[in-house]
This record gives sequence, C-alpha cells and structure tokens, in this order.
Amino acid sequence: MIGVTVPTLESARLRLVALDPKYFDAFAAFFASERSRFVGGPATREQAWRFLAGEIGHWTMRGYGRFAVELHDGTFAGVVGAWNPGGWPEPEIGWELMEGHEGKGYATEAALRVREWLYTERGWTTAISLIDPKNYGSKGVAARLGAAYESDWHHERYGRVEIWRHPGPHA
Amino acid sequence: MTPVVPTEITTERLQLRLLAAADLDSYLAYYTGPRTDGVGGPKPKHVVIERFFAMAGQWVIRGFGRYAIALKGRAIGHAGVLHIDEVYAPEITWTIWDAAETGKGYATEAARAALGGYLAVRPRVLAHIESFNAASIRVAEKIGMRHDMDGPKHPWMKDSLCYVGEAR
Repeated sequence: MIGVTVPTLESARLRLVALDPKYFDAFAAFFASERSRFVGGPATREQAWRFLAGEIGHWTMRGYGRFAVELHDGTFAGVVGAWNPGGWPEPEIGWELMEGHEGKGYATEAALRVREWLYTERGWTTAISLIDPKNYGSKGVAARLGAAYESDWHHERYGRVEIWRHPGPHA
Repeated sequence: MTPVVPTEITTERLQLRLLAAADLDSYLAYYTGPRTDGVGGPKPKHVVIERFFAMAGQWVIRGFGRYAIALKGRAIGHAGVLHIDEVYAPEITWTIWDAAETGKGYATEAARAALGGYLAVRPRVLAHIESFNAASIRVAEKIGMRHDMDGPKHPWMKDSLCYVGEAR
C-alpha cells in the first residue's frame, strides 16, 4: 500500500471522497477555464495533471488533504479540503467548484463538514482560508462559514491574498 | 494503490525509498538553485513544492514513480519513472540534488536500480536529456539505454536527445 487511507465524509447532499485519476478530465477542464483564475489557472493539461497528482501527494506527505466532492448521484462537483504546502502561513481550508455547481451552497456545506472533521478527528484548533481579494464568491462562502477577514499575506504567484480566520472548535 | 515496482531498493552504497516530507527542504534547495539548467530550472519555490507533492502523488496513482536516493538515510537526489498524463510516454529521470555528492557515480547506481525495477514489469521507458548534459548522457549509456534518433521529442526540452531502455 502506497499513500494513506482517505476517509469518506458525508453531509446532507454531498459525499467527500479520495481524489482519483477518474476525475482528471473534469479537473483538467476546470483548469483550462477562466474559473481557475484564482487558484493557479488557466493551466495546460500537463500542469493540471501535476496539480491532481499534487493533491494526492499532499495526503501522503501531510496525512490530510483535499477531497473530491460528489453529489449523491456520483457527479463530481468540486474539490474541498485541507491544504498546507511548504511556505503557507498556516494550514488552510480551500474549496473549488466545477462549472455548473456554483450558487447551490455546496462549497459551504463541504467546507463545514471538512472543518468539523479537522476539529474533531484531526485535532486542529484553528483554521484559515486564503482568498484572492477579487474572489467575491469565495469570500461569500467564507462569511457563511462564520470566518472573518484577518490580514493580508503575499504569495509569490497569487500576489496579495486575504487571510480569513474560521471560528474555532468551540465557537 | 498496490505498488507495481518495489518501493525500496538497496544498492551497494544507496537506498532508494519513497519521498518523505523531510526531504522537501533539500529538494527545494536544489530546484531553486543554479544547478538546474539541464532540467528547466531554476523554478520558484511554489512550483518546486507542487512538483514534490506531484512526485509523491504519482506513486499513489500509478504504483511506480521517482524514488528518493538516500545516502545513510539522507536524501541526496531522486531517480525513477515519471509518467504524466497519458499524452506523454513514461520517462526515467535522475538527479543528484546535493552538489557535494556529484561525480561519485551515485546517479548511475540509482538510475540502474530504478530502471531494472521498472523494466522487470514494463517493456520500455524513455529518457530525455539535453544535448549539452554530458554527465547525464554518460549515465544513460552506462545503464544500457540507447540513443534513439527517431524517438519522440520532449514537449519543452527542444534540443534534448531521446534514449530508450527496453526489457531484455
């Protein structure tokens, strides 16, 4: 066995499962589109493959990572979870939705489930999300999760990003 | 994922093993530094981290990948088979990160072991080497790969030579 066992998390409308190459075409389509402009795209198919492999390798290296978000009929709706590559200010909770799945509250529902898992199963005591200042959709998700803008941080690719702080486990 | 090749190989002087989080700093030092002109570098830190995570993830996806080359436990480089999206054929790569450990035959020793492990289960693998990278060309020839004039071109190493390794 190589890598770690990724748990499956359930919420009212969603299943959060291990990322897998079966999602690659949808993942590459997302990274080919303007929808990926706040998260490192648009990017070539080759680069998208490295991103997907990197998501899976993050689990191996950190013991946690991001999940594929599926609707109950198995449709791939997005990628949500914990992210902490080297050089990050703190581990964060991040979310991306695939085309056609925005505006339904899926990012909020999935991130809330992930946050509960991190606090209760993984011993996290706080969490942040890094958000591009112009990504108003993502800021709306953060606000619905009860997070609040805290400060700015500078990333060598994304430039200025906002740090949003989530409520703690006992909030 | 069940491994397709051994996840650890011990050679005369080295151990090939899976990459560990503790290896990231050495990999970063190499790939953001000046010795990377043969491999498209130097790269910004965030790109290097992405590649490191992707190397680990490829093992999970494919059951084979690039090993850390460890010398008395310390990673000094990586060697093994990279297989990006199906558009590209599997390719073997080798790199010594630590400049102080070059010139000792470690790349040859590690690449030979990684190549042998891979060709025990798969028929063929390529290597793309910049035409000016004489040290790496010597490694390819020593481990029994042959120059293929008609081999596929590498997507971004435009002047690279294609070498082929085949199972006997």
